[in-house]
Amino acid sequence: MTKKSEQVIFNIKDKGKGEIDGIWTLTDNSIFAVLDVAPIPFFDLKEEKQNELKRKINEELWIKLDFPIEIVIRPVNCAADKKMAILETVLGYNIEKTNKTKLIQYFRSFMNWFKEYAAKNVKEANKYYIVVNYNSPYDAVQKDKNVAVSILRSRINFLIKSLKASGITEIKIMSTFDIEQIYDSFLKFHVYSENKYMFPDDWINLFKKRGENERH
Amino acid sequence: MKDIEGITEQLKREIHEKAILYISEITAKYPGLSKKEIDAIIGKLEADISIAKEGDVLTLLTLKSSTEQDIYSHIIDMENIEMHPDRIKIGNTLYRGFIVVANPQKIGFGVFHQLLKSKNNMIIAMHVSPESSINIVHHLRSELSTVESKLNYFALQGKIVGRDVDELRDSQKFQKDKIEKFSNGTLKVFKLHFTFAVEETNEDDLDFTTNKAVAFLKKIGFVVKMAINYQKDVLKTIVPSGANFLRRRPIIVTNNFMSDSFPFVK
Repeated sequence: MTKKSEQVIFNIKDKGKGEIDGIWTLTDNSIFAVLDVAPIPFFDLKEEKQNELKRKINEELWIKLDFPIEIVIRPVNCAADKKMAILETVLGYNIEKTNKTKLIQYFRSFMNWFKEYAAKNVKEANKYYIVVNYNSPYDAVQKDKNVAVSILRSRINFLIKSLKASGITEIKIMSTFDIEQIYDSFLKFHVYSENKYMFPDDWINLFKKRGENERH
Repeated sequence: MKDIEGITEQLKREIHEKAILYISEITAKYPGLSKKEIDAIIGKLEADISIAKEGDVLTLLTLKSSTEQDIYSHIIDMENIEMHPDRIKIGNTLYRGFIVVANPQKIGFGVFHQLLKSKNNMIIAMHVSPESSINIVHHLRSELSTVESKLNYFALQGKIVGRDVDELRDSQKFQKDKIEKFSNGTLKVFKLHFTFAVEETNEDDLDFTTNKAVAFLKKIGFVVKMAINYQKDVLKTIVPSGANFLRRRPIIVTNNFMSDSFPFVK
């Protein structure tokens, strides 16, 4: 899957870089940014605290919100064990077929490490994203784009302030790289660990790093 | 007796530094080694998972090495996209999206938490659009005016008690209360679109998870159906971009509903 085809599938016109890192443009010229929001252990709180939280969310977020948002709730590492088995079976089968001893040996050693790594680090969880967008066709007029970006930024600031006032304190504005990782996670084989989506090159780099650490 | 282990470690370090070592270099570096000893060293070096012997050269397996490239190429093969009317298959992951046909009237706090916890592998996208209070107040005032006209008509007829009059007075009170709340900003209305999709690794599990998810959604008041021929639009809608490619009839809710259904629960 190339980056280009990802862009076509998801109607992405531009992935913001430099000064507008983390602000992406769709083909309809709307722009958007993504916030990664850490959930709160609501059910561990006492009833009074729960009610207070509901009241704060109501007062600080919903009453004051005057622009559209999207909330995406995504489970990660669901069926990770099944995916792991597929990786081992399908990939293993293809690699065994090559009859390349070193490759087979390397793959087996990698798989053993990966299973061990996954048992420790790959846990089921839910990721929560809030998407803030601004729909204003600016076409080639750079001035309008700047206005659109500044409106989007003020929306992001409002949301962060409102969520923090509601008791949700762990909020991260996603960079272009982070958003790419989210999109890739819908299209590529991955696991979620160490607070990020990890793809084959990440696993192999980690595997190699481990080997180097052991040698030292 | 030569220190075979020590020489092997030294050569290993050299291969890791230079990424390549000709076997002939071993004899040049350690002239007193016998053929048997050299073979033993090469065997030990080859046993290292990061070193490969290709002909008369020992090479370090790097990111660009053929071994890793082979693994990458096999993984990339697993990422083909297949579009079907009722599902999308990307590599070894299957997605199935749903269209919401009927929405619930009320959702309890943490219901999404339960939904996700119930291992339905469900991805949820909620598009939330606040409505302008001015338009709502205008609409409520027009309804209030109709109610008050009817009350005036009954008053002129001398009818000031009775079931009809009581109902109209209740309605009048209700509308006034709503107008006040919308005007002072304690009540707000939102348009809400839900999109759901499930994720699985094979067809059987996808069907099983679909049934489980649909049953759970029904239990909390959502009636959904498979988005036949719209799977790509579902995928585009559940990926965070703010865009909604499945504009169905929205559910109209108040800020109280939003607070109650707040999903950021661990």
